Amino acid sequence: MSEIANDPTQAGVAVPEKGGARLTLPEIQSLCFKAARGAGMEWGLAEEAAFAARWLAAAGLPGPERLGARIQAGVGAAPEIGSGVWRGRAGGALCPIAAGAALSDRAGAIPPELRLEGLAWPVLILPFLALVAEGCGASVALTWPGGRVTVGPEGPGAGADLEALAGFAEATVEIAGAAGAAPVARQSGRWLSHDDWALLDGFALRTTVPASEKSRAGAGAGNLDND
Amino acid sequence: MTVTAKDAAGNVASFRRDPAEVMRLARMGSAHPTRLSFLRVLLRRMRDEGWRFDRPVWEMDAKGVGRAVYRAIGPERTYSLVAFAHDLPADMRSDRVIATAWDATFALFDGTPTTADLDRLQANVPLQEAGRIAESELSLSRANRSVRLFDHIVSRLAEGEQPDAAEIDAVGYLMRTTAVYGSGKFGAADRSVLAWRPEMKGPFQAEMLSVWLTRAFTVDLVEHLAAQKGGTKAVRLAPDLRRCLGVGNSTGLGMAPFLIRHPMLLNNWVASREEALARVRAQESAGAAEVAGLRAALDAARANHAHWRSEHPIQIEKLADLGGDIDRIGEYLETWPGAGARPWDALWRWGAETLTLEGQEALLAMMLEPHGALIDGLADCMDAEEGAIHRIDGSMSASATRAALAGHYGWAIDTDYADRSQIARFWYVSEEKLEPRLGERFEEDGAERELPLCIGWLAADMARALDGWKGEDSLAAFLLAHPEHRFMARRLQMAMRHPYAEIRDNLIASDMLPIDLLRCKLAYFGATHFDPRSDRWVRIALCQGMPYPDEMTKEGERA
Repeated sequence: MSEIANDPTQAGVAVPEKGGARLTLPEIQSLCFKAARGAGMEWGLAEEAAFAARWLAAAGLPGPERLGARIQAGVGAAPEIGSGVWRGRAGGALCPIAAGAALSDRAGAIPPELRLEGLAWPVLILPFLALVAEGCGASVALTWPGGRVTVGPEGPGAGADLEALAGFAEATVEIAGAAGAAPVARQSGRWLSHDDWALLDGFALRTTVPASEKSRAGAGAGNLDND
Repeated sequence: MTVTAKDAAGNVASFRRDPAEVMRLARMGSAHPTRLSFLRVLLRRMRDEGWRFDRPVWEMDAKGVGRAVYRAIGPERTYSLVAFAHDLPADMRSDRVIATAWDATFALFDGTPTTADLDRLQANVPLQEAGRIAESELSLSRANRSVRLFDHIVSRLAEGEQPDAAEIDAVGYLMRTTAVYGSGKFGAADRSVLAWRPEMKGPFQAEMLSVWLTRAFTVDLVEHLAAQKGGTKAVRLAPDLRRCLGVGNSTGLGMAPFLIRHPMLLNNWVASREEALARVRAQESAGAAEVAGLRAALDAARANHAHWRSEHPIQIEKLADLGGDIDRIGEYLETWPGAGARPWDALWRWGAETLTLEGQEALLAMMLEPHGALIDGLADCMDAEEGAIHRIDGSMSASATRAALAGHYGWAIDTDYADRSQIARFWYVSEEKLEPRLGERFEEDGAERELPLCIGWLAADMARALDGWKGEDSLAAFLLAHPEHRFMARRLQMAMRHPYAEIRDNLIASDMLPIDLLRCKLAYFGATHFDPRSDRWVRIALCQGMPYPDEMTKEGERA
C-alpha cells in the first residue's frame, strides 16, 4: 500500500526522457543504494554510499553526482591501514566509501592525525567524518590542498569552500580532531540534472531482474479489475 | 523514578511475550488490528483535538469527471485531499500497482491549495509515478471503482431507493486503492520534513488521513452521479448503509519486503503492542467498565467475523479457527473474571493454551480494547528515526559478535542451507516494473541479483565467516577483510537493541507465505477483511464502520 523513507523495494521512479528533477532525500538514498550495488559494491557498502550521498545532498553538496562519477570509474581500492597513513590497496585510488566505512568503524580509535593518500572524490569522505564525530563525541577537521573544514555529528561547519573540495577527483587529505563548529543549513532534497540522474539510474537497473512469464504470473492481481 | 514505579515497570516487563514467540510468520500472519492501529490513532487524535472538515471545491461534471478538495482542519495546521475523478474505460481498469490509468487519483496537500496549486497537481497527479509532486504534498494515491457495487448504488439512489444491504456487505467499498505512496516518494515531503509535527509523527498518519478522506469522496461521487441521473427523484445514501462502506485496497508482493527492510520500525510497532498487552495482563483486578468493554469487543469481533469472507483455502481455514475461538472465548467469559488474582493474565494464559493463533491474536486485540487510558499513549512510541542507527561500532570483539549472533539469530544459524527447500526462493526487483518479486531459485534466472532479504541465511554466513578469527579481533578488522558481511553486521547491532526487529523465520524457504507479511503490516494499519487472492496478494478494507468527516464528534464514536 504505501512505503516510507528509503525503502528501495517499492515500484521505482523511471527517469524521464529529458529534464532533471528535484529528488527528495529518501529518493536520493534509494537511488544511490541501488546504483552503488549495481556498480558492484557489497550491500553493506552500498548502504554507506547511499548514506553519504544523502548526507551531502542535505548539506547542499553534490553527493549523488560525485558518487555517480566515482562508480562510473569503477569500485575503488579498499584502504591499506598503516599507522598515520591510509592508502589504496595495490596502489589503486583509495575508495572514499570503503575508507569512510573503515573510519566510522574505528571512530574511537583513529590516530590524532591521519593522512589519506590518493583519496578518490574526497568530498565523499565528509559524511563519514560526521559518523566519526558522533562515535568519538568530538568534531573532526579535514584538510585538503587549499582548504579546511570542521565536521560535527550534525554536518559540516559553515564557511569552508566545500564546492572547491567537491571539484577534486583525487587528493591527499588529512584528518585531525577539532573544536566544534555550527553546521550549515540542511536541505530536504537536491536538483539532479538529467545526465547525473540517468547515470545513477543506469547502475541501479543492474540490480533488477528481467521479467519472465513466470515472474509476471504470480506477482499481483489479474490484469482486469472490473468486479 | 521512585522505587514503587520502578517495581511496577519491572512487574509489567515480566508479562511481555518473548520475541521468539511473537516474531514467527505464522503468528504475524494472524495479526488483528488493535486500538493502536494507525487509522484508529489518527481518528482518535482528530476527535480529541476537535478537528473540523469541509469540502471547499467540488467541480464535477455530469459524467463524474472533475476535481474536489476535502479539508481536515486541525488546531495548528490544515491538510487537504485533492481528488481527481476520471472517465476510465473498463479495459484499462487494473488492480496492479503497475497499471497506468485509474478511476480516481489523489494527493494529500499540506495546507489549503490555491487554484494554481490545483492546476499544477492536475498536470501531475493523474500520471502517478510518471509525474512529480512537491514538498507541499504528503502522499500520492489512486483508486478504481468496485464497478458492480458502484453502479448498483448509483442506479438505486437515482431511482429514489436505497441499495441492497447484501450487495454492500458482499463488497464493502466503492473504490479500491492500488497504491498510497507517502513519505518522500515522487517528490513528496518526507519524514525529516514532517516528523516534528505531532499529528504526523506517528507511522503512516498522512496516508491514513488520505484514505479516510478518500472514503468520503467515493460516497459523494456516487451521490453526485445519482443526482445527475435521477434528478429530483434521487436520494442520498442512508447513514447506516454509508457506515458499512470503507475503502478497499489491493496489495501484492510490493509491500511484503517492507517489514524486513525496516527492522527498527517493526520493532517499535511490535514492542508497543506487546507492552500494551503486558500492561493489561499485569493489572491486579478487572473493573466493571473494562469487563463490559471486553464483552463489547467480543461482540464486535463476532460481527466482524460474520462479515469476513474469503475464497482462499488458507483463509477459509483461518476463519473457521477464528469462529470456533470466538465461541470458546464467549464461553470462558461467562464465568470470568471470577475471584482469582490478575484475571486479565488468567484470561490470556487460558487463551494461549486453548486457542489457535488466529484466536490468540484476536483475543489480544479484544483485551486491549477497553484499556484506552492504560495503553493509548503507546501510540507515541511507534515511529522510528531509522537514520539514527547507521554507524557500526567496529570496536566490538569477534567473540562478542559471535555471542550476539548466537543470541539473536540462533533460530537461523543451525538451519541446513544445503537443503534446497531452505533456499528455494529469492527476492528481487523486476526490471520491467521496478516492483519486488519472489523467484524460484532453482527454476528461474536472476538469483545473482537477489535482494538481501534472506536475513537468516546472511546471519548464518556471517557466523561461519567469523570462525577462525581470534576472540579479541575487532569487528572493524573483520569487516575490512569481509565487506560482504557489513550489511549483516549493521543489522546485528540494530537487533541487539531492538528485540522485536527480526522476523524469526526463513524468508526464502519453499513453504514461506508472503501473505503473512502482508497481514501483519495491514493489521498495524488497521485493515479488516483480509482476503488473500493467492499466497502473494490480498484485498483488504479500511475505515469500515468508522465515522465520516461529517460525523466526527467528541462523544461516542469508536476511535
